[in-house]
This record gives sequence, C-alpha cells and structure tokens, in this order.
Amino acid sequence: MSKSVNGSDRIVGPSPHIASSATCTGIMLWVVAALTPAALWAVVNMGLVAVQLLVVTIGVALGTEWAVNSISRKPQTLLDGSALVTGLLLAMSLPPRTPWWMAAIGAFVAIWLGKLLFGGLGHNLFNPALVGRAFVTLSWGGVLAGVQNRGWFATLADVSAEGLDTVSGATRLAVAAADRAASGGYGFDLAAQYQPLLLKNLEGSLGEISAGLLILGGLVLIVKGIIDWRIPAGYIGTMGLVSWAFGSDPIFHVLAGGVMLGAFFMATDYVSSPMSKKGRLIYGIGCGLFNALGRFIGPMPESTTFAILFMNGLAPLIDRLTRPRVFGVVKTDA
Amino acid sequence: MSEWFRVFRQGLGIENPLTVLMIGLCATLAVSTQFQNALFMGLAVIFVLVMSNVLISVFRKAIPSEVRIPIFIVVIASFVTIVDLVMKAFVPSVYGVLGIWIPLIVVNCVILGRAEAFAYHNEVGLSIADGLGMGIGYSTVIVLLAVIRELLGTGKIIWFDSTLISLPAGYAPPSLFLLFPGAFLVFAFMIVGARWINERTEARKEGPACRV
Amino acid sequence: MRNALRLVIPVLVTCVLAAAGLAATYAVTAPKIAEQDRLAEERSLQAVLPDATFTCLEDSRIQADVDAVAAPVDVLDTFYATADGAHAGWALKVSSRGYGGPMVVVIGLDTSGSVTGVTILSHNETPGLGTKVITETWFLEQFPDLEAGFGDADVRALDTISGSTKSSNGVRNAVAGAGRVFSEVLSGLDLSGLEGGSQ
Repeated sequence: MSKSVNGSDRIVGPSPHIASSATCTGIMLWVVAALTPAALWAVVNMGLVAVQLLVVTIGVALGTEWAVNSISRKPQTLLDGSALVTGLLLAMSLPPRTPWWMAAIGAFVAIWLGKLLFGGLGHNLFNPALVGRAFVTLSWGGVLAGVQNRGWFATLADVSAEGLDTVSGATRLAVAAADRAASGGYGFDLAAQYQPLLLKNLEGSLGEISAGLLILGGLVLIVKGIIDWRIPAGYIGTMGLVSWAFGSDPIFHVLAGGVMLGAFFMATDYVSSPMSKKGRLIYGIGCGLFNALGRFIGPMPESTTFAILFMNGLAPLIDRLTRPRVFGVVKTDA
Repeated sequence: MSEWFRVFRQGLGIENPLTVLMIGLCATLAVSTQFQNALFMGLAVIFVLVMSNVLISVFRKAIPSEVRIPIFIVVIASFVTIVDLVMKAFVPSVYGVLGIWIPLIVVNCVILGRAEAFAYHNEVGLSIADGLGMGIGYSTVIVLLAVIRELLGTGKIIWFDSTLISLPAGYAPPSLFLLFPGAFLVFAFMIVGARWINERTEARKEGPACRV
Repeated sequence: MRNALRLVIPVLVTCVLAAAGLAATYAVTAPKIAEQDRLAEERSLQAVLPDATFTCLEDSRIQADVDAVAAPVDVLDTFYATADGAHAGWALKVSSRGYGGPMVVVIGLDTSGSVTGVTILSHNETPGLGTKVITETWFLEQFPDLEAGFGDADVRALDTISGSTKSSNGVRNAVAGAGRVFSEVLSGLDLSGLEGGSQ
C-alpha cells in the first residue's frame, strides 16, 4: 500500500487550486445566511416540528463529522461550516413531519457516506445532503408519503375527497402528476398556485415553504459572487422550457417542488459541480432537463434529488470535455 | 494434496470471483435480495462450475483450441439447462423468482472464465478443486450479501414459508437495501472486508496475490 | 479437408452428447413440470372461486373481442366455472405489467360480474418490495369489494401499497381488464353449449 496523502510530508488540498480571499468558512456562512430567511419562515408557519427537524439534522450532521474525525484521528473539520450547510440543506429538503430517527439517519448517511468516506470535503463526488435525502426517500418512501397527509394540510383534505389515487404523498406536484396520468389535464388551476408557492406553501418539504425567499437568498449569493449564475439560470431555464414543451405551465413547474432549493443551493455546491463556466452552464441545463423529464415521464412526482445527483456524477466528465480549451492548448487567453 | 488445497483456497480468498475478480456481478446483484434465492443460485453455480470443469478437463486433449469456446459454451449451456429443468420440476417456488437468471448462468463469466483459464490447462483433480473453490467462493459472497440485504431491507430472513430470523417489531426496514443502490453499497463494503481479510492472510505468505 | 474434419468432429460429438443428455433430463422432468404448473394453476383457480370446476374456454371467435377489450393487459385463458352442475362464474388468467416484468394474475368473477377473489400466479417483482402485493394480504383482499358492473374508475379508487406502486398497479390493471372483458364480452355470451349454462 502506498502512503496516504495525509501521511506524507506534503499535503495537497483538493482542487481547485486557486488563490482567493474567500475562505471556505466564509462561503459556508453566506450560504447559511441565505437559507436562514426561508428556514425561519418555515418555522413560523410549520411550527415546532420544523424546529425539531432542523435541530436533529444539523445536530447529527455536526456530531457525525466530529465523531468520525475523532475515531479516524483526522484533523477536526467542524469549523469549515460544511457540515452545518449539509444539515441545514437536508432539513430543508424533508417534509416537516419526517420522523426524527429518519432525519437523523439521513444526516448521518449524508456526512459519513456522502462526504467523509470519499475523503472529506472536496473529495466527495456527490452533494452530501442529496445523498442523505436519496437514502431516506429510497428507504422509507412510503413512510415519508404517509407523514405528509396526516391531517397537516387543510387544503389536502379537499383533494383526496375528489378521488386521488395511486400517489399517497400528496404534494401539489403529486396531485398534478396524478391528474396528468388520469386525464392528461389538470384538475386544478395551475396559475392560482403561483402566489402560495412563491410566498407561503405548506405542502411538501421545509424548503418548499416559499420559492420567493429562496430566490432572494440565491440572488444574494450570486451578487456576492459565491455561486455562479450559470447553474441556476441553466437549471431553471431548461426546467421551464421542457415543461412548456410537454404542454404544461412552465411557471408552475419552476416554482413547485424542489427546483428553487435545488437550483440555487444544491446544484451549486462547489465540490460536486463542474469548474469551467461553460461546464457549469451545461451542468445546469442537464439538471433542469433530467428534473423535468423525471417529473413528466418518471415514476415519481418529483425528481430534483436524482437529477442533481446524476449530474454530480457527470460533473468530472463535463470538466474533462470543457477544460482542454483553457489548459491543454498552447494558445492562452489568460 | 497441498497443491489441491492451494487451488481450492484461491477461489475462496485471493481470487474470489466476486470480491476480487469482480465477474458475474449482474446476476449476483439482481438475485441477492433474498437468502433463499441466493443459496439456490450459489448451488446452481457450484454444480455447473464443477461439472463443466470436470468435463472440459477430462477431454482437454481432444478439444482443438480453434473451436474450444463453442464447445465450452455447449457444455456449460447443457448443464445450465439441466439445472433449469430440475429446479422447475422440484423447487417451483424458487424457480419462479430465479427463473430468468438461471439461463443467464451460461454467460456468467465465472464459468466460461474458469473453463478457459483453468480446466483447459489442468488435470481433473485440480479442476475440481478450482470449480469447488470458485463455486463456494461465489456462493459465500452472494449468500452473505443476500443475508445482509434481506435482513436490513425487510427486517427478517425467510426460508420458504417460515421466518428464520426477524428483527424487533419497531424496526422500519429501509427498502433501499432491496434496490440496486443498496446492493452496490453493501457489495462495496464486502469488497473492503475481503481486501482486509486477504491482506491479513496473505501477508504471512510470500509475494503478492496473482490477479487475473 | 482433414483439418476441417479435425475441428468439426469434436463440436459435432459435443453437440450430440449434449442433446442426448438434455433429452434424458427433459424426459424425466417434463411430466413433473407439467404437474407443477397444473397444480399451481389449480390452486389459484380454487382460491378465487372455491369449490368450482373449471373448463378452459377454447373459442377462437371470442378471443379477438377479448384481446381488444382487455388491452393493455393480455387475457391468457378464460375459464368457465360450474358448481353443482350450475354456472358459477368465470376465472380469467391475465398477464399484466408489474415492476419487474409480466405478472400473471388470476381473477374470479361470479355470474353477475362481481369479483370473488384475486391471486397472483407468477411474477418477477422485487422480493420484500413488489412482493408486498402478496404478503400484505389486505391488498388482494380489497378486490372482492368490487360489485357487479364495476369499471376502471372503481378499481383505481382502491388503495395501492406505498413503495410498491408499480406492482400494485399491475394487479389493478389486470382486474380492471378482467372487468372490461366481463362486461363487454362474457356477459353477452351464449352459454347454451356449455355445461350447466342453461340458466
């Protein structure tokens, strides 16, 4: 066995090796700050269950990071803030009544399997929060669907009375998917949903509370230069375009579900997205494309998680395809 | 005898078809959702592997090398079809689940690979050792994989109509382990485990393991 | 020429021996396999319509109608059931698409067309996940609630097993198909040629 990188006298940090004044912790704190309004609004409207979910995921994420680092005698990385962001993002991607143990397992899987097993922050191929969420949805899809309609949403009672079948986790998207499957049309007015989706929507996960607040947070991050506008622009633009091509309402499909959280906060994760500008645009378009395809022809009403995870897997390839123009050729433009 | 045992042991450890050579994974991951199915799959592979190894080794001098592959395939396919028919006749409930995977043993690289790499060049005794070692090595891994997946994914282990082991009632089984991501996840950890064991046991011996 | 023979003869001999071996195995196992298949079918027919005798309808004239009505599922066999000499109902063997491929579902209907029982004859569903349609007994037990004249909408109103939606839908589609076959074809069938069909 060769000596591990950490065991040798020189330590090479993960790419990109670009000198910048922005520290990792600083970036992470900005992301947390941008998410805070939406998280607080969720707590205000959804109540203590939302607090419990946030405390569990963030607590377990931080605890796992600390414990695994301690056991494997690696330097502590708690203060880089990435575990905090992962915990927060995971909470935002789960419905408020997610059982606490499920949220805890999700957070543990996110940090341990999604990040530390790969070698820590910077080495992970996939967005850790989405790995945790994928684990939870694939494992207890039925339970998650069940917790959503335990009388939490008044509006949902009306929908199920109309004869909603197949889909038991009835978010607005699930209702839309069931309608499409049954008749090809929609049983409710999509345009009437714009306002609740933008301002205050109680169906679905914590992060679906308000697309407006997420957009606001995302814009702040773009203005501060923390995330690249190309990823959310490619993502949301493609999502709308494909929805329109499928004959549905593009605005509704962009606002509903996990698109805003995914486009601004999940897909833009530094480590798991491509580095070149062109690559980021391609990556954003890919996320939007697979998210939309998943919604219209996939088995589940929402597919943000798997669209982004899939594109995470492609990110190194996109980098390979888009990088040689910058580094490989003698002709330089820098 | 020691040579026989050395060949036999290779299939179990340092040349395990699944955790080291990593061949024949498709059927393995698909079938290993239930202990019962994995066990029958393992037995079927052991049978086909040993029988085809024996036959090919016995007639290795009579098989011209230009047409050896078609002959191997005919031999293997015949044994697989025999297993197929026998299972259908005597354990129909298992056949119902394994049905589509049994014929695919024909193209499972483990068997053709051993015929080509071992039985064609070695005498019968050693070919039996190789077939048994590889077959048992394959079965051990697939059964262990299935036990982990079934226990975690459904909370119990089933043998036909009876439950062998069952986890406490409060356990909410994560169905991820029954799906392919779970199969890859568990299998990855088994590869880690196998490496660890192989490095420990082989460290005492001379030289690194020969990898095909 | 000699070289060609040197290659052809071993292949030929292998093939002949393999064929002989397989023929022998087949001769031994074939009756056993036929018996197993018959038993399985008999068991599922008895489960959906107890204490009846079944005759497979082999009428090529209705088959075209049945196929047209049943789509997207396939009706493999239609059984005419009698009990104590009188027409007791129908059993349909329907192939439908589940998660892991085709699943064969047997549906029992009484003379009025209400469902008497549903069982699954063979399937390729994921053990522990798709197989919940069998192990979670409430799922199959909700089908006998379907009254005479039920339609697709009534079937869709039944619950599915969360996490096994595709497998559940496979069964529901099969039952809906059987319902259509009854109302469009079987209910209007002239039963006079059949045993106990004079009622």
